[in-house]
This record gives sequence, structure tokens and C-alpha cells, in this order.
Amino acid sequence: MRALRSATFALVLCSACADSFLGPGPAQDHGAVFDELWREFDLHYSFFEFKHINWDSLGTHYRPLAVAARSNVELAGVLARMLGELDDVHVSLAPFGSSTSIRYQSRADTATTYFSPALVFARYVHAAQFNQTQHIRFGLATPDVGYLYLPDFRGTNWAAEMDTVLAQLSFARAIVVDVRDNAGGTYELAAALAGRFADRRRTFGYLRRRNGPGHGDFTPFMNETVEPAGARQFTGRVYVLANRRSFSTAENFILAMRSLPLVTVLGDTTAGASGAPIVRELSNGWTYQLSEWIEYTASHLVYEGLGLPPDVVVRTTLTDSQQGVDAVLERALTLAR
Amino acid sequence: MRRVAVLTAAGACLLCGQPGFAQLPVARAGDASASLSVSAGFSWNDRRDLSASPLLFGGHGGDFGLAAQRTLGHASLQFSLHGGARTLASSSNSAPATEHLTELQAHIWLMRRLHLQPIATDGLLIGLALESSAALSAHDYTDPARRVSHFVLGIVTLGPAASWRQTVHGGLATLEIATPVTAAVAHSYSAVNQQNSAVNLRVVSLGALRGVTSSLSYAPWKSQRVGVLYLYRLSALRYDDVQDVRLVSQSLSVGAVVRFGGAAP
Repeated sequence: MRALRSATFALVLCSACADSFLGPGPAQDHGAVFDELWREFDLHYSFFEFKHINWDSLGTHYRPLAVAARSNVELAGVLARMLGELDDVHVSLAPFGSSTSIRYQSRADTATTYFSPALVFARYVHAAQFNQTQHIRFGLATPDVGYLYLPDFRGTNWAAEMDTVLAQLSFARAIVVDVRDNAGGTYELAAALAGRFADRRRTFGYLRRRNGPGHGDFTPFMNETVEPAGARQFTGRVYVLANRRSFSTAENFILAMRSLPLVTVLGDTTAGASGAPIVRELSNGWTYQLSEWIEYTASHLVYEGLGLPPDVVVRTTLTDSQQGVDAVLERALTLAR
Repeated sequence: MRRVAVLTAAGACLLCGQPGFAQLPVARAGDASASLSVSAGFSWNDRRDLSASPLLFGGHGGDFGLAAQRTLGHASLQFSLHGGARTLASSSNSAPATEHLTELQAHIWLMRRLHLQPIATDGLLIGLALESSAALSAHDYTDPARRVSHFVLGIVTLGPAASWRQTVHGGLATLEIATPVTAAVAHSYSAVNQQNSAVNLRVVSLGALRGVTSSLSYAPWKSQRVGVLYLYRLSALRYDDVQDVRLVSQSLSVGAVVRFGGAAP
């Protein structure tokens, strides 16, 4: 009996000592916040080696600035400048709640594309309509060439709406799919939409994710595949229109589409934002996102920062824009004849 | 952590609060050779998993348990399954992130008497504990897109276990404790998704993983076929990796136990 009482007392003591298992809470002074962010990027960011970034050196340079910051606003500025050195549009910092986000502005962000959806639907596409949830705007560019405009791939669960759109364009000989100025969105959604044009399962690229503390620690190559999806597939000629402001998931979509046999990509090189960001948080409540994977083309080329070149280069000029001409779409319609 | 002590004290009261606790005669007969118990209650969790967040998360939720015990001569084989779903909140006022934790644990304990006495007698049993747990946490970040990421922690441990059984007020009080010596851990390096679902298994020993699993239970009227069971569990885990994990969980449950075989009540 005495032993049981002793053991019970020991259990009480044990639970009281549970705090030692949890350890102390993280410090929240500027130096600690900087160290936490620096280490998290050190553990997870995927492009240190590809971009030849000396992260230790950047840490040495920016840490004193972070420690000397006189306010959280100044600290956020220092952290954002350090993250800006990564030259990655998928890297961002949300320091003061969900309403503000500081993101690196790439050349692609500020590129002038002269793409105007209003011009396309006013001059080139007839009987234009939105699908149910207004994710897809579509119509006829010629009596037998359909046109689909996908402004982004945000959200989920609307890939099936493409089936309805394709049903209405079932008589089309060719379809133009426009992802110019497409800001990206959900990877799985883009893959499912590309599946509406797939004739069979095909590998369109490869991924490797950071999986260890070394900057070169990655998973083996994982295949990215596109396969027939949805109620029907359009397997005729498809012309995908891209430009410098086709970002991220739009680039995944283009990568998937160009693996299909009757697809031609026209326009300009894409933005080159391939990182697939993950979100994380700091102990002071700030959140940030960073690229965690490297995406490769089917030829095992990394296109981060470089973009995906089109099969047919067509650039819309200022003159085209002033004259109300969409040179990229016109070229696609010429090829579709 | 104040609730840790409160709960432990509550669990201890199940034993020590009984009047005449030390004076009762020790029952030697009436124990069954097998038993099955089900229980339900509440669980309190505190956890910090650096693969998801540097913040400490705490919260509570429902807990269920299922246990079976079979006596084989001087040895006893115990199997228990318990788990539940909990909602955890960040302990930091400046970070309103939350986690939804789903846990399932399975334990197999092979115990025997030190001296060749029947299992049914009061006293100490020692043996081996094979314990496994799987936890899936859905972490709600407070970023502008309000994203949710999923993290997995799976652990299988092997280590020594000890159990003390004592008849109290005609019921059976049992204190059990186990600690891992070696373990296999599957800890997601970062958020799990379709492109990152491969399990990365790491075999570790005491240098990287320390913990304890303990429980204090009391089943009044131990000679009856069907009885009530009060159960308090405490487990703590410290896993050192590139991204450390710290877990403390407690549960307080009430259930029923059904005994089979052995002497008739």
C-alpha cells in the first residue's frame, strides 16, 4: 500500500514536471525573431543552391540591422529586404495580421504585356459568356474555334465546370486557352483542368521537395503527370496563350498542356515562378511563405526565374495595343485555320 | 500547465480519497482471467511541433479508450487502443493560429510477476511495452489566404514497463508506467500534401527520444463481472530532431469493464 501511495505521489510529481518536456516559450525580441525566420528559411527554402545564394552571409549582414530596429515596422522592413534578396515571387511576409503582405516584386510583376481581356471579348470573341461561377469566360473566336479565358486558378472544386464549357464547344475544331496575366492558384485544380485536354496519362515535369536541413537535401524526382479527367476531353488542336505575367500554377498548367501532342503554346515566356509556396508562422504571430520545391520540365530543366518559353513567340506591342490588335490571339487563329 | 497538477490530483484522489485506504484486507480471489473495458472522457493536450510552428498549442477534446487484458499463468498480455479529436489554440496572444489534432494510440504490454505468484495478487509486474501512436494535425495559419497545412507524427516505441496492482476498498487500483528505450519515428519534415506523402522513418534511441506513458486506474467491485472504471492517463514525449517535438497529454475517463473467466463473482 505504501508503495502504491509512493508511486501515485511520483505520478503527481511527474505531471508537475511536464513543463520541462515542453521547454521554454520562444523569445520574441528582434534578434530572436530574426533568428527564427533565418533558420526556417535555412531549413525549408528550396532555391539556395540553384540561385547561388549564400544564406549565411545574408544572415550575417541583416541580423545587426534587425537587432537595431526600433520598432516592429522597422524589423519587418529589414526582414523583407533580406527575403527580397532571394528574388522569388513566392516569398512573402505578413507581419501585421492577415491584411498586409510584403512580397518581392519581380520583373514579371511589372512587365507590360498589353493584354486586354476587354479587347479580346469586344473584338475577337462572339457569344461570350461566363460559366456558372465565373471562373471561365468563353465563346467563339471563329465559327469553329472556341476560346476560353482563365484569369486564375484560385479556389478548388470547379474543374468540373470545364466539362460544361467543353460540352458547349463540342463542335469546335480547335480551342484557344488563354492564361495570359493568369496569377496562378491551386496546383491540383490546374492539373485537373489540363486533364480535360489529355488523351492519356503523360509525365509533364518533375518535382523535388526539401526534406532535410542541408540546402541540397531533396526528395527524389517525383513525376508530375496529367491524365484524362472529367466527363469529356477535348483532344483536338489546342492553342495556349501565355505571357510574362503567367505565374506559378499557370506555368504548371502550361507545362502540363505542352506535354500533350496537339497543343501549341504561343505568346511570350512565362514569369518563372515555380516554387509552390508553403506558409509558416513565427512565434510573434507573423506569417510568411516560401518556396519549398524545385519544379523541373520534362527535360529536367529548372525554369525558376527564367520562365517557360512558348513554341511560337508573339509579343503584343504598344502599337498593337493602341490599334486594338491582339497579335497573340490573331496568330493563334491563323494557325488554327 | 496548472491543469496538469489539478488533473493529476483528481486522478490521485480516485485512490487516496477512499476512506480507510490502508486498512482494508487484500483480496486474493475473484479476479478474472480476461477483461475488456471501454471508456470515454476528456483529454488535455499541450504540444509543440516545430515542423508546423514554433508556438506551443494547448487544448482539449473528447477521448475514447478500449482495452483488453488476458492472463496467461504468471504473465499478462494487455492491449489498449485510445484516441480522440482535439482543438488546440496557440498559447501566444499575438498568434491566434489553431490546430485540429486527431490522435490514435495502440499499446501492447506483456507483463509478468517478478516472483512466481498469480497475476491476480497485488503487487508489482514488470515487462515490455510496445506502443504506437499516430497524430494528424491540421494547422490553421493566420496568413492572408488562411491556409491549412497537415502534419503527421507517427511513433512506435519499445521499452520497459511496470505495473502495480493494489486492492483498495474491494476494487482494483492499478498504476502503470512505461518508458521507451528505442523507437521508430515518422515525422513530416514539412506540410504533407499530394506531392510529399512519402514516409520518412527514423530509428532513434534514448538520445533523441525520451518519454513516459503512465496511467492510474481504479475499478471498484473488482470481483463483479461488470464494473465501473476510472482512468487517468498521462504521457509526455520529447523528440529531438532538426525540428523538435514536445508533447504532454492527459486524459480523465470513465468507463465500464467486463471480466471473463476466472472465479465466478
